Amino acid sequence: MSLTAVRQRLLTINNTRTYVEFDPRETVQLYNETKRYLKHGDTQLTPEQRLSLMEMLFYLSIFCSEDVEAQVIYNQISDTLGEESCKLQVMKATLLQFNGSIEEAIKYLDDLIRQEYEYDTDMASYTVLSKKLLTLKLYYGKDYNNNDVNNDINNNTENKQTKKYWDTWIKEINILIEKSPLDPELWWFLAKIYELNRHFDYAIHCLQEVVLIMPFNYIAFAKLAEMYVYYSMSTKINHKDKVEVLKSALNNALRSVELSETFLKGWTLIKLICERLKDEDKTRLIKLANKKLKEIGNESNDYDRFISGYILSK
Amino acid sequence: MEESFSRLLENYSTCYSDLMEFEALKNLLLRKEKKTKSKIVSETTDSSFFDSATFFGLKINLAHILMSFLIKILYIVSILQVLHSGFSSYEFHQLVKNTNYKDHYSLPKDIQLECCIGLALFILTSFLSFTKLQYYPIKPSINNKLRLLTTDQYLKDISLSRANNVHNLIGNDPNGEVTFTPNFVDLQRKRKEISDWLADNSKE
Amino acid sequence: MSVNNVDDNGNPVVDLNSATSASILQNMDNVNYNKKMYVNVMDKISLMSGTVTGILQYESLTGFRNFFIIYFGCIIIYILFICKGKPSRFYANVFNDLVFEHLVRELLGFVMAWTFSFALVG
Repeated sequence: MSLTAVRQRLLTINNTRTYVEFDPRETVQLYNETKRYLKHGDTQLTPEQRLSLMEMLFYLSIFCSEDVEAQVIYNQISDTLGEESCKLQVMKATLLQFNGSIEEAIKYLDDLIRQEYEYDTDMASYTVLSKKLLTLKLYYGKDYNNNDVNNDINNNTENKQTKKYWDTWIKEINILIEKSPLDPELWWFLAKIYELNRHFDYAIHCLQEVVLIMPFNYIAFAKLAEMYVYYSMSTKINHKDKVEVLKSALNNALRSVELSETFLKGWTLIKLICERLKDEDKTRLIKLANKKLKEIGNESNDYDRFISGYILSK
Repeated sequence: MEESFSRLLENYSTCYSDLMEFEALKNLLLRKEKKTKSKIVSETTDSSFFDSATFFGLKINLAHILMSFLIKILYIVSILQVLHSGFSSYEFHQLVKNTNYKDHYSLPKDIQLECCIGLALFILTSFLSFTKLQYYPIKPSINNKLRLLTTDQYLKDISLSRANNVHNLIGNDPNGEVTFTPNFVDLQRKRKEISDWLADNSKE
Repeated sequence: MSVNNVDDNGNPVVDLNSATSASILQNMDNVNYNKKMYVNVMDKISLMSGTVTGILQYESLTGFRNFFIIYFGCIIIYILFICKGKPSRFYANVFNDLVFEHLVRELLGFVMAWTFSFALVG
């Protein structure tokens, strides 16, 4: 039974790509677990699932600087699937990036896109490859790279050079969006950049696009509500508009908890927004949010329990 | 001009600290715990799911193993019973065929009873073989262990809002492929972070 | 609500009360999972009860009566113990999903096992 749960967990991590968000300790642990799991074997694992787990192991070994093992895994996968798929081409570019040089990887992807995908109808593969190419070019490429600049997406620095750097990002991503407007990841990343540069109104627009593409993505609804709250705090808008903006924030937060009953972030946002909307009478909503937060505190995982307790105690 | 800008900045920072907390808190919490409990972390870093599974959930696992064993035994017993009664019934009918009193004899009570008990046992076992849904959380908890979370139901909820509760329970983001922007990950930074962490940890 | 499904602030509006969206707001994976679990257990039981009916040498209506008693009995047990008395939480259309959808399938399985063991024993 516990093997079923283990399989489920690993497949979920792979399907949602949560492993890119793990911190070093968790990454190393996950790497060891996946390796052991695949070695031990599981009769209920279908070949497709096995291959997808191997793809995850490939990226985990790249993260852990185990380049030789990554090469071995790549060879195993390409033996079964060939090298035509865009996922394998991205993996090959990743290997080139670390075993060869960045220029080589860029050249490989550039040639591939120019020769095959530019005139092809396979839009999805084209987008995936272009994203990889863009990442290589803008993070490490000669023309753009700027080692002095802290180009961490999670750090916000007020710097002219950084601004220029992000402007190139925005320009490049907009070109890609023109070509494939239905890719939610591009819109999300653009929203992330705008948030970083504090253009919250632009970020709101991007997230609205995400929500249009994925109408049941409750995480995006909560993020949208968060952006509205930030936007309401900017000094550009007057008091009357502020209430309107906060109201749309509340609507989005409510939508997110409608789609997911015990969503911690959604309920927290509702509580915070209602407290900010002083003119309106929202005591019932605050009560409801408190009740739900208490519920989450009773029966969720360790992190959510801790955080809901913290928010309630404030 | 500058004053207003700085006020704006301040405004944002308070707002960030207000709202981002539930995101940032997780990291903060982890770091704190790491510092205080670094010994435990380094001890159990290598713990695979086999170790952890047998380690943390000894009782749960034992109960599960016993239960699945019992169910298998019950299945075998019930099927054997039905087979045995079938064979008895076959013999009985063969005997009756050769006599002239075909219509006078009905199947003996003990064979009927054995057959019915076999069926009842089989039905009971197939309902007992339902197990409650169990999940591992996506991220290991602070002391680096995976705690098996058992829900109180055998089937999965169909309404979207309740179905998503499972994701909240295990700390999963079902739209992670979009939210985490996996195609835009800075691989070299990630590698550096992990190799730094490994270097720090091996020293201890 | 405007024509473009967008309200005054530019937010997308999803009308939750309309009939179409109510049926969409279900997790189809879970619906299929629940149906699969139900069919699995009912398949097993109908085959076994068919075998037992054949062994007992029941004929015509008695055999079918046997099937329906076991079938409905199992549905009641399933609703009470597996669904914990709230089948509408796990099945969108309780009567259709639990009673009618698989009736023919289970009946055919039952008849197959019944005739097989009947001929074998008799």
